Amino acid sequence: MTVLTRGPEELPAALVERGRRRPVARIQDGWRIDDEWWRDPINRRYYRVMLDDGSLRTLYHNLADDRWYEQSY
Amino acid sequence: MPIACVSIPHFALRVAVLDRPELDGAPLVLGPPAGGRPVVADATPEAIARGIRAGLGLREVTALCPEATILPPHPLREAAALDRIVAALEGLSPLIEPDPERPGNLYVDLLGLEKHLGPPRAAAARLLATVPPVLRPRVGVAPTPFAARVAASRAAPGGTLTVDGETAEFLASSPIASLPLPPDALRRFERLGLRTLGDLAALPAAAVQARFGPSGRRAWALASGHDDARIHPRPRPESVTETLAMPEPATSLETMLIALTRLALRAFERPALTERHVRQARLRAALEGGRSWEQLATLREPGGQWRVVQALTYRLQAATLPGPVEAVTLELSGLVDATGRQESLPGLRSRRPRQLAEAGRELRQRYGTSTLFRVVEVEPWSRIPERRRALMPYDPSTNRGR
Repeated sequence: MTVLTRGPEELPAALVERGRRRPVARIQDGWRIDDEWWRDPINRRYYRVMLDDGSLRTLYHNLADDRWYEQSY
Repeated sequence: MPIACVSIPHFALRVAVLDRPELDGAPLVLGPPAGGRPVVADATPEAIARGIRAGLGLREVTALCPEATILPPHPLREAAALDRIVAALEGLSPLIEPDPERPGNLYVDLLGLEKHLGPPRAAAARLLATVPPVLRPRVGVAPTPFAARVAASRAAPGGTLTVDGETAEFLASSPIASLPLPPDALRRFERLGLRTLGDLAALPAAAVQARFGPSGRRAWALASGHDDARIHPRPRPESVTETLAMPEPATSLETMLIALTRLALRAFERPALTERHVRQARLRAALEGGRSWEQLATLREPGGQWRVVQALTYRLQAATLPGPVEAVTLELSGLVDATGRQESLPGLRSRRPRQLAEAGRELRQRYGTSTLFRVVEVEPWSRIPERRRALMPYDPSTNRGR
């Protein structure tokens, strides 16, 4: 899965899955988690997004390795 | 000349003077928050002149300066005063940013406002006029936020200072402690004989970066008059606030819990919270004698009325109210759309153990190991989703009936 972003804040604009581009229709929520600084620091920016087909997905931008992941559970 | 810094040193104490003008000029000491270590959090120049400094024990304060007035922090009053100042400054510029690290410092972007506010000196005077004089405000105007803050710190109380010449030249004589660095980093600079910003700026940038890393490089840039920081106006998060005045000052936990439940009920009846959840709840109490108290609950996941009441109830049960409560305010923020949660059906059981045991045997035969796992809760309270549960190897033959 690849996440395409927009703007200087790098908000998720679309997902590319199996070669198919799926635009983000709406960002429902966003929050940040900074934790466990005493071992391997966790710095993530989470987004709850609604895709153009109405499905809800939770994505996060892992600021440590600058990559996007899906939180599927 | 685009940036101004409005500075109110010893902000919490000056705000206390705003309410009690008779304290102006007296040695004032800011005590710790409720339950904190009994040490000085801040002191006015009048108290500092008598040997009182931050970190000193409160008992020593009484010995050093018996006439000193020790004031407890009043977050409610301070937040309200800051809001009033920001609102007044927003009448002059749309870009106002309170400094979160230094309470009482506010940056104002003056770019493009020359026609409206006049030249820098006139603009500084207009900004100064928006703050009550009893707060002893001062204003610095410079091309960068850092230089503006240094200029404000050099201005006399109730005065303004405008940087007319080169920023680096102006900053050169300022003490190294002006840099926004932690105390140990500043001590390291001082141990190397760097006393002023000019001393630091005179060093090669690469050498400073090699010795002190990225924060050292940024300090060098600031000392040299380079500051690419921009003014970000305060976010205006959507929030819902409900206040309840107590018929008589409340002291019992039960009364507070009833008030909390009523406030949450009223808040979630508001149209702004229809089919919406909240991420954060702040409970503020106005106490008898003009003091205040507050608790903040950040929910692990956005929640509705019941979750808010539950989270704040835990905090109320754990806290000790420092006095009788006259009014309670509930502020709900981080509003998000309510989303359904799929709960497990009660009584829904996994496949029968015999079938599972059989499946396990087949998997073991095929892959050499059982690939059945059980989901177990590990840290259900964790904010990191994958920390909450873990997969444990599951052997149906030894976990019969579970």
